[in-house]
Amino acid sequence: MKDLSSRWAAAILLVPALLILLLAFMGDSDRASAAKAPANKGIVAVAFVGSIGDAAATFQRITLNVVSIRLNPKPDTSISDFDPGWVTISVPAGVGKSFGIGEVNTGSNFGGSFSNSNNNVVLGEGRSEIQIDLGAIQNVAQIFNAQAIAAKTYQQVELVLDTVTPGDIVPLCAGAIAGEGCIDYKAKFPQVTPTPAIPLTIRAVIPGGGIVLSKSQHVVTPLVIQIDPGIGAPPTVSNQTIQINPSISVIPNSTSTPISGMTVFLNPSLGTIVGTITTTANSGFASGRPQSITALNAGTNTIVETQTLPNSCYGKKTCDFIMQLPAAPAITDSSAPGYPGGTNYDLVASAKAASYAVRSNVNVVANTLTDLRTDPVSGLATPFAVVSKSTISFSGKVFDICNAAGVPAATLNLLVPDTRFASTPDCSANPPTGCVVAATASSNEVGNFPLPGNGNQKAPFDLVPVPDVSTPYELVITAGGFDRTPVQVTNNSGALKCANSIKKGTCQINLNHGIMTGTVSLGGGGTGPLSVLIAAEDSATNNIENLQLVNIPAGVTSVPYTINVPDTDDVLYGGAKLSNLDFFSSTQDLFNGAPQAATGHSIAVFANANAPTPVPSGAPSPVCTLTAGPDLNPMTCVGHGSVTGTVTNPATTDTVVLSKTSNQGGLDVQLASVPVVPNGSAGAGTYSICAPADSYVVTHYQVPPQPTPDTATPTPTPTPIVVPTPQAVASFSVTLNPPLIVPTPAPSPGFTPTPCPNICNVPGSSGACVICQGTSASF
Amino acid sequence: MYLKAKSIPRRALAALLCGLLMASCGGFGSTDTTRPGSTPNMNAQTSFRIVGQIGTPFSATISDARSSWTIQGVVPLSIVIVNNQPPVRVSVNKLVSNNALISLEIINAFTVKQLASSTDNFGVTVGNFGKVANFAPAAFPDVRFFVNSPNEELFDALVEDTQHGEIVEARVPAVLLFDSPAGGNGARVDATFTAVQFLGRFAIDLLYNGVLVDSTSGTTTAIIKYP
Repeated sequence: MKDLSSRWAAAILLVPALLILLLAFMGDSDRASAAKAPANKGIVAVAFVGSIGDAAATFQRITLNVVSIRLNPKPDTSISDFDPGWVTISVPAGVGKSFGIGEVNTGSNFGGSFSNSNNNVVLGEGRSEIQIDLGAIQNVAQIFNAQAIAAKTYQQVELVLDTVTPGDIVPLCAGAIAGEGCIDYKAKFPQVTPTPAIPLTIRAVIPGGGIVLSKSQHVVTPLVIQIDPGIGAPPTVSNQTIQINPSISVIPNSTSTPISGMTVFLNPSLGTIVGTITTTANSGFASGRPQSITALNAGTNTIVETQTLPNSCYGKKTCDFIMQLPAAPAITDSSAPGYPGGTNYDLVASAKAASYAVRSNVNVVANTLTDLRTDPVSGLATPFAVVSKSTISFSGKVFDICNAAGVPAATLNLLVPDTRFASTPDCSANPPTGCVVAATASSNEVGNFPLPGNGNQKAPFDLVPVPDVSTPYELVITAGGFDRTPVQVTNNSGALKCANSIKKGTCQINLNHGIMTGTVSLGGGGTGPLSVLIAAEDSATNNIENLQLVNIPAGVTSVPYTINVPDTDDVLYGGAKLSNLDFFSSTQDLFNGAPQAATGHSIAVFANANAPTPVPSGAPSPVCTLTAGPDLNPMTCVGHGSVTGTVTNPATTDTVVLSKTSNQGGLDVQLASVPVVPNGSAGAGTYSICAPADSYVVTHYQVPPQPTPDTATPTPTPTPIVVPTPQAVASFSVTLNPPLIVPTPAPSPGFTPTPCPNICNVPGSSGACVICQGTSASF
Repeated sequence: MYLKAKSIPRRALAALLCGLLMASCGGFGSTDTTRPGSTPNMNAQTSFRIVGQIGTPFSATISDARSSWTIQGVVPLSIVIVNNQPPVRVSVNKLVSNNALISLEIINAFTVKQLASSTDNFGVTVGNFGKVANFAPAAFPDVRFFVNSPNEELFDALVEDTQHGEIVEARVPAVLLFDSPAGGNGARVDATFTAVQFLGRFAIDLLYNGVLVDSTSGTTTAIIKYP
């Protein structure tokens, strides 16, 4: 390294930087914004629904790698790829705004090229694309993206997939000699003739004359696209690709009576909500402090969509909004599992210089309008009432109590109580029923929060309204392996103050935890090199507390591990304190030099290990000691296996959990949870799991009937309703079929057999092909 | 205003001219004045993007043929190995029990080579570029540049040790991992960051063997070094 090299480098780097900037200005960077929709533009929100039919019984996972959606005003689906009428809606490319000033936003980020056009690809980024799991979106849509585009009538839509790898597919184990199951296969488009090949296009006419985007609607127009992967046969050998020939169709919208001049769209895959926001600002809503409304999955910080009030609201003190959200269909039988159906959301209104206004656990039903403007019983108005307030920044640091080091990747949720209830909900409780995550942030590599924004976007926690003295916020901090830690945030003379924190406006938080140690060992004569994942979870649940990767070196069979876990002061979901942890470990195996998610080694389990006790208060440093944890063994190469079947009476959010019985009193340790094909879909009730060829317990979980949340009770309701949790309804034991060992032909003159890749060295399979075999088991 | 507007193309032309002059004089590695025409190609930039539901925490273990690193962060994050020696192997696991989507993208130069995702509780995604073996030993020295701000900024960085330099490009937030600086002997490392979009001020941390040894900021460029 030479002196001054950095300065020279800065000068040199400036030139390509300017060139790239020039290219950036050439791109289309017009993101969707209801508040600032450019002239002659309308906003369309694209959502996907999967349709895989009976393929769920053959394939464990079918994913497509989506690059963009294109719309064209022409109905002719044979028009050129280069027709000037094409308009592109790419994947969410920028870093979304978590809260505060928002556009139409999905809360997702899939990296980014320079612009939404996704045409200008920069080094190190590639083209942005999103992997859609078609099995997971069979009757509840997934929002893809929203964007402001020219306000025309569009009559056809095109799905653009990654042309090199349009998808990834994991087949289940077959029942005969075939390609290995439970490994990742690349999808491939069919070979198209004649030569030169006609480019494969995935297009559909939009029914009903297309979608009409009028700039005067001030509403987001939904476009729901159903995707059928057109999946081909399962692989016959392990180095194949799997052919797909996708097709799409548009699930048409219908409309209801307009509200406040806005079109009300209804769709069989989306629920529609209408609400009112009021403000005390003298000038009403204003472009300088756009008012956003955000929908989150109920009881979580998972943002599904953020939308700003339309610019027709500027200058008004009361304004309505309409939002379409992915939702399951209604269940009409009040005794049926999953009743009343639908999907529950938390809603939060936020803006610069305004208070939060929240609504918890709103039930949204597909193809139905949920009116939040008035109480359905009393008829009283129930607006999101925001009050003018100063909004200030809030920051701090999260520390590990054991070593005073910063905790990276901690999640900080700022919870606000829903004040419609007779008594103010306790947001420090677990679960914090009746509270809504109004803002969320994360800590950086040294524990500081929040992560920064930029000149155009505020960071999370940069616009936090000062709470009322009577209604403080609760900051709940979580991190893998640490105790869930609630901290009250109060108003201290116009600044934010954390309980037990030493500074105003900043929050210094210590997270407690224990440290457990043990060993992981291979069995069956197996040795490293291998990587092993160790998981610790709350006993008898699928709630994993932490995961740790350790490496077993070459020639070694056993290595020690240490893992951070919560201690016995940790409050679990439901309010009980943590007492015991279940552990399991699984190897991360390679197939032909590529790592696979599904292991071929048996999974080692240990049930009901005592959780560590808390660090004594005031103990000298270092205050944390190692607690003896379980030794996890053996992990023996048994090969892949899979099980598929059906559950009885499936609802819309059912799951099947795979457990393994431990040697600790025969208690079961939960290993994995997979979704069941929902009622109303082709192949309803089907589940499929990849697991090593071993013995397990398979359990069907279902949400019991619930009281209708939110709108069916008068205001204020006596108590908020808990977000429902699934319950076990049926269970059985199953032993997965072992793999088939197929000897490779002996070498002969002029013939050298190709070595067969295997997931691991199954005893007795030296030089042979090991092909996993499927198992069928229904409830 | 008219004069200012008119002057922009001239400035751009001047910048382009400078670029051409520098390139013709060996800038950007276009020539090697000591061995003209013999500059060896280096491996294309290998990047990892961890994307999906914003704010989803994860732990990622990344390995090339020499070294491995374990990083805890949140979605989105770009990771680049400087002085990379393929093949590379990655394992990313969510650190939260929910159904948030996490996707791992492995990018070689301009192309997404592999995409893997999960919505499971503490879901695991794995990927590789080239046929791989087990994870390599932990990097030593472990040199990481964390570019935390401004969010979304596209930047170029020249990362150097005492023996070679390498230019990479990524988008904030990003981590640059420096594999085996000075042939694994450690010694001094530095980096110069140049903003492309000018979205705000840089905020960059340098961690050396797990210790925060330097932080810097800057509007259009930032320089950081250790020791």
